[in-house]
Amino acid sequence: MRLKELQIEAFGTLDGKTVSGLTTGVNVLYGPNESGKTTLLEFIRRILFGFPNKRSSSKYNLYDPRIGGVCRGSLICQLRNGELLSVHRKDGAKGGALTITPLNENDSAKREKSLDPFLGFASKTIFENIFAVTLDELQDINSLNDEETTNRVYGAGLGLGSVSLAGVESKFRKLGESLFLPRGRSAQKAAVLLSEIQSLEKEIGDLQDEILLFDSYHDEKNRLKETLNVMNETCKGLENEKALWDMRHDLFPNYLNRVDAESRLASLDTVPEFSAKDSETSTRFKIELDRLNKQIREEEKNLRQVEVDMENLHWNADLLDLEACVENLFHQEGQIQTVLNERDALNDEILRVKEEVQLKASLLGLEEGDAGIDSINLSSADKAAIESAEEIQGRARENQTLSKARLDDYREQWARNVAGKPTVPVWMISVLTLLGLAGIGLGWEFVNPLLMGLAGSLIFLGLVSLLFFRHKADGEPDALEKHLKAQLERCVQEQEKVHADWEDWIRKKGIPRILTPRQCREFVTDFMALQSLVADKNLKEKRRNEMRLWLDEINNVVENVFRVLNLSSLPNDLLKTIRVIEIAFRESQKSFEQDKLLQKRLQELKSRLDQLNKELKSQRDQQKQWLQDLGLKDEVDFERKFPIWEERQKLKEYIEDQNTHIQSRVGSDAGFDTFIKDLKATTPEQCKQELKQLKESLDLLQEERDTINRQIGELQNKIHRLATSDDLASKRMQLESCKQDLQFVSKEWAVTQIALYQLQKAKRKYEEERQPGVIRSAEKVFSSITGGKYERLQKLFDSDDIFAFETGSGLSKTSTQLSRGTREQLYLAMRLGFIEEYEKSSEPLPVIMDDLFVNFDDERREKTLQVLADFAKSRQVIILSCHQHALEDYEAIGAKVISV
Amino acid sequence: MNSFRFIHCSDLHIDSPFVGLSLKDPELGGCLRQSTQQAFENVVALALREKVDAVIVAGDVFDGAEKSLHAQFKFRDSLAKLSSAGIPAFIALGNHDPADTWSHSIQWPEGVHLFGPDVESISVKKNGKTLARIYGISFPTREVRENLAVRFPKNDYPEFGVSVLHCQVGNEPEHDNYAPCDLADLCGQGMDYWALGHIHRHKILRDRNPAIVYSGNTQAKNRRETGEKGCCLVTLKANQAPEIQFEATDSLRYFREQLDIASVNTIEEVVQECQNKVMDLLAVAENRSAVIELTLMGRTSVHAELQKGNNLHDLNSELEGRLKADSIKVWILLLDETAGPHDLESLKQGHDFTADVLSVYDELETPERLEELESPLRSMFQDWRGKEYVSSLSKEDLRDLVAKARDLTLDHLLEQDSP
Repeated sequence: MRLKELQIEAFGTLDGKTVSGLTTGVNVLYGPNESGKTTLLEFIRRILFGFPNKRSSSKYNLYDPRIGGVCRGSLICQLRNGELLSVHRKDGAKGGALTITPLNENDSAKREKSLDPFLGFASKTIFENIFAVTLDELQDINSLNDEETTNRVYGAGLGLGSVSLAGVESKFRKLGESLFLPRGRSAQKAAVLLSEIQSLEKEIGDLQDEILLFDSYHDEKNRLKETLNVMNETCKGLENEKALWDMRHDLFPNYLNRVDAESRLASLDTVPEFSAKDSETSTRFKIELDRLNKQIREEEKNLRQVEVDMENLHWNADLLDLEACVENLFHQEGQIQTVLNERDALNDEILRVKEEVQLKASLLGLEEGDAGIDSINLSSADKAAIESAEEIQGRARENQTLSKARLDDYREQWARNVAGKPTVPVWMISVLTLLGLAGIGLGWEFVNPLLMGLAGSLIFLGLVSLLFFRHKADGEPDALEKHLKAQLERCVQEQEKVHADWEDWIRKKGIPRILTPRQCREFVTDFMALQSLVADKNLKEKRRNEMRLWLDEINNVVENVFRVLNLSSLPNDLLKTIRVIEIAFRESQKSFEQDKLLQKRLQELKSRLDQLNKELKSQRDQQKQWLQDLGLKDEVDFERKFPIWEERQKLKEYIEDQNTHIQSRVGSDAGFDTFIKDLKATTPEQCKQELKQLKESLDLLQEERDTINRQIGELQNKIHRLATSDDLASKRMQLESCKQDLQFVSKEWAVTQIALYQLQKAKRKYEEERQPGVIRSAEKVFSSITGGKYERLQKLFDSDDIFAFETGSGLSKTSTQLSRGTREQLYLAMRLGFIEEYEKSSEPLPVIMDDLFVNFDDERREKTLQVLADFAKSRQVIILSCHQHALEDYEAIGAKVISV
Repeated sequence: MNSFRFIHCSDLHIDSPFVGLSLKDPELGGCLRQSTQQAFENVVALALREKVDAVIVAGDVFDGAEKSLHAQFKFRDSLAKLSSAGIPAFIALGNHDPADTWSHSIQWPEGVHLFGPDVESISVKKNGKTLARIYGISFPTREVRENLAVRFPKNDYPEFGVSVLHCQVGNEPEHDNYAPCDLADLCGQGMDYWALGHIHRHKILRDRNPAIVYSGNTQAKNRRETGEKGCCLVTLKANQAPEIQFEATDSLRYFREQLDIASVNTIEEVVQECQNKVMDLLAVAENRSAVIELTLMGRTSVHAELQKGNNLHDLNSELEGRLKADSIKVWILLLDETAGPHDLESLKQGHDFTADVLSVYDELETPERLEELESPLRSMFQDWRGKEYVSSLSKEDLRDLVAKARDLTLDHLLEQDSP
């Protein structure tokens, strides 16, 4: 396949650019630096093999189009059979969308999806490594170390380019060795894991062995427990014995006390058998007798005192006989006081009223004394008569004045009414009025309002005329004046008669002088007051007399009583006298009462004394009887013998206490007697000795028991640990994990070994089948370039080095032993050799290279160009050059120069 | 004879280690270690909750070879809870815990019956009435190759007959053939139910007349034992087929899943895919702790990134970190079985070294040629002193390793990041 045309739609700085005119043979794309030659190289590569993943931007220049959008473009290619193809690719997923369009009309139906058949199944790697050679890559050869150089040159023959097969093998080998080495380093994973597995297995084995002991631990524990039980029994026996000796030791003092008490008891006198109550009885008698004697003495003393007190009592029996009279007097004492006080006040009051009566009587003009007053016969009822008289007199006077005034008025009016007025006879007026009334009656009867109005007018007219003419008739001088005169005279007479009646009434009432009714009314008031004063005075005087009589009576009584008192003189003051009487009476009364009480007390005391004496006798009898019952002579005998009995009792109790104390430890049955017997047969020292020995035995036994208990505890711990520990499970789990890791390691290692093994096989196959052709082709190229200096190339078995043999001398040099330029030439020769060999069985591909020959000397460059010209005869070589001067050289070998 | 309700469980393997897991997290180690015991505790809790009439254990209570006393004591302590509730327990011993592996110092709680080396019949009574007769026999030693089923008598009693036996019914090459017997041996003996142990997967071999059931183990004990594990809650009723209800008791569930990430382009997408997958699995686990072994598969462009340094480990941590917020304990074991996005067919058609490399790998596809790998692997798998700890490689293993080696070689020979 060769390229005919590059159609760059968008790729980096290039867009809408077409590079055409590419032909078979050498094509030189010329342009200065930065004119886009390398971009063109990448364009071709990417259209053929796809655009790199965007994620690889750090590794590759993505040549993002300057105009935006995605990279795209086409290559117009011609196949060996002449077919024309348009290969279009647009950047996208998985290298970008590829469109292959056959351009020959005949083949338009034949569309391929993959370029592989047209590329002879050359991979991108192959293309990049072999068919596209850059100057940098060539120069890079010189910066590598020997091994790398060898690999690179060798790799060129394998089509691996910069991938070092030896490097890959080395990597696999190292990886394998890190996992497993049959011998040597122990740091490799398999050895580490094996060691861990074996160690874990040992630990597990130990744990399992321990677990096998579990049942034996159990058995041992049970055996020890049995031994312990036996020891516990022995120990119990010894402890019992020790307890017995402890008891003997502890109770020895009690035993000795008991013995001592028994000997003391034997030395005491025999006395009657008392009881503890006897002492109380004796004491009770003693106390009772003492109490009675003391009481009797006290009561006798009291009796004597009463008798003395009675002798000292005195009272007035006569006075006491007058008790009723005296008590009455005492009751009236307050009243007497009041009467005395009232009497004095009354005297003063009577005196004052008398004087007032006299003064008022004289003011009324009455005679001195009550006779003057009594001669006037006035009462409050007379007030009405006076008022009536006053009214009558007033009315008579008023009538007289009125009559006189009328007469005078008449005479004056008569004088004024001299001109006479027309007179209408009265009958006419009367007729008119009657007609009017008749008209009304008819009008009403016939229901005639007109007639009724007319009649009313007539009446009105009649009445007016009547008033007018009547008035004129009064002015009659004779009759009326006479009448008025006579009336005046009747009034004067009436008035005179009233005065005369009044004066009669005054005289009849005894009033000393003639008074007007008004004066008389005042007189009556004053007289009535005076009369009231007189009555009051009389009342008081009557009261004074009554009091005098009552006091006299009292005085008589007091005098009679006082006489009984046998006192020398009677006090003047009545009340004082009564008080003296009262004191004397109360004293007598009190003494009398006291005497009565003492009498009673005296009787009581005598009776009490009798009673006490009886009780005393009874007690003495009882005491005597009690002593007799006890077989004692008297109390003294009791006093002597009872303490002895008490002492005996104490000793007996003490012995009993000691026995009880001992029995509390040893029991009260036969054991007690045995114990006492044992104590009799031993001594405290012997007890101590026995105890010491027993303690030593027990301590020894305890130590042994502790040891066994400890052993049991240890076994128990072991048993518990075994039963609860999950160490075993944990280790087993670890072991399984390690085994699994080892499985993994073994397989990983096996992968590396298989990979290495297969690589070796592939290498052998390649060396046998493909490499000879590559070497031969390269040998030809290398010989041509070096002008025949080197005639042969050889790749030895078991070595990746390529040996170059000098013509004639037969000397061989490895790639690293060659000069820089020669080494580059060898590398180029290997690349071209590989291409020739590769293309023997597939579609040729365009070979694209930089201006590789710039470092070659003139001779070698010329020869190389010639080699290239020969190489390009049957294929397409595209050289990217920026050297103007080199163009001529290229043109010299028939290259087509295309400026970009 | 109204009904008899009991729990049938087996293969508790208390304290036996979880096989095939590399433990980097001590907490996971602890959780796995306790899982077997916890599973039996769950059985006990179920028994108490359901107030069953009996609990039957069909062997392999613990791994006798491991001589774990602790396991025996744990078992006893759990039984004590049943005893306190008045629920009798019947235990027939199996090949892993034959009578000679038990400590004679253990004192069993009241109501616990361990069958001896001869068939015994014990009646289960309730309120003075006999509900059922339990027949059983224990392995006296590990190696019992005799058919023990034929030693069971005929159940002539009117009560339900339940037999408990640790055995291998039929021929199952992947299991050790202990106390082998045939289905026919178990029929026609007047039993209502055969409570079997030994096979770790729950199986109902026959559902009635008599029912023959493997309860399976109560807790997964190796990577292969994925899915739910538990016991059977059985109700026997007169003249009816037994009601057999499987109840999950595993305290920790193991998942082994593959995740194809061929279409995934970024690590972030890988994390998201993994997280989605894990969340789906956790829903299945029903609030249990879980270990999720997730193998990333497929030819993917993120292969190179996954292979780099600690990327896979970091990814694992990231995933666990995202799930940490939840209260349930989850451990993720991420395995990378991805390959680079190389087009093998295209590469094979090249005329270069890579094509030769692929051709030598193609040559290994025949089993005969695989044998040639014995030589490069001999130093470890045949000559190494630790060879006993590495399992010999089957043809399948080898094919797997060859594919890995090929991908590894391509990863190194071909640049990966560019298309």
